[in-house]
Amino acid sequence: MATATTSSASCGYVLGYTSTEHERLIRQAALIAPITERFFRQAGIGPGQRVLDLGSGVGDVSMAVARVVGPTGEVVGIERDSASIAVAEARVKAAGFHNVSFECADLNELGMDKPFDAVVGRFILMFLRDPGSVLRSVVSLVREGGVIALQEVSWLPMLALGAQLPLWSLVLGAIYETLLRTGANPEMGLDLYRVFSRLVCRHPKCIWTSFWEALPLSLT
Amino acid sequence: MHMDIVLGSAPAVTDVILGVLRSLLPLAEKERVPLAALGDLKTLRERIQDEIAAANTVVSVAPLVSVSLRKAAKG
Repeated sequence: MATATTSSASCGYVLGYTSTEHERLIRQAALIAPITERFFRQAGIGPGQRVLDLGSGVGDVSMAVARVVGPTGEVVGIERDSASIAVAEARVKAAGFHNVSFECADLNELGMDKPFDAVVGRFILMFLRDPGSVLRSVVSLVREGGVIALQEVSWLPMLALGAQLPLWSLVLGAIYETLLRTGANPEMGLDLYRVFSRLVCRHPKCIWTSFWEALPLSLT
Repeated sequence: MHMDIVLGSAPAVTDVILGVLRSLLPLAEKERVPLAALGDLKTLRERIQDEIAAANTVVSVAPLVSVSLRKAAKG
């Protein structure tokens, strides 16, 4: 059994696990699902693959990747909140997926029987105090030739776009400040560059990145 | 590595962000994040929609940054 462990601590999912938040996540997912599915395909995930979804929440990313891998593929979602898993399982069943399952576990203690073709995650690392540590751990869960595909947020462009609207800016500012004070990272998207750079430096001979050609880094 | 930004003026867009605020409210109050300037939260949705309509513009949800890497085969 491949087991990935890390000493990283999480600031937790600061938005909570209420039914209201679950409903918000579902509405949000409906807006961005096409972006996520396109990204997974571009990253090299395809039919028949076995995929691990980190922090699967109420199941939207798991279902998105299930559409990409098709009925011959398999998706395993990892989520530490059992109530979220219950919601996800009900939604997956209602949607007619038979190849998606969920496990209640912490990202800091991942144990899997066999390596995955891909590991995916959306809006996960921003709630981890040491996302690099988790990333280093999940590398061991991916087979050679496999893919790690992550999506995170960057609030800075949204703050700039909203600057012309005083009330909207106040809303965004209040959220941004709260995220910062609770230990979440609303700029995790931009920080992915730094985190992945360190990951590649630690694995210079076993990792190459599909986005790397545009970056001024040497892997020698 | 790339970024995608969903833009729009409909409540479907603003409700996602206002939902974040609603979910974070207990922590915002605990952390003493200033909220008074937002006014009555019960009417915030309507006032936001009015502001966007008056400016005849769009807003976004949080931009998505996508990054992937592949674990190369040994050889």
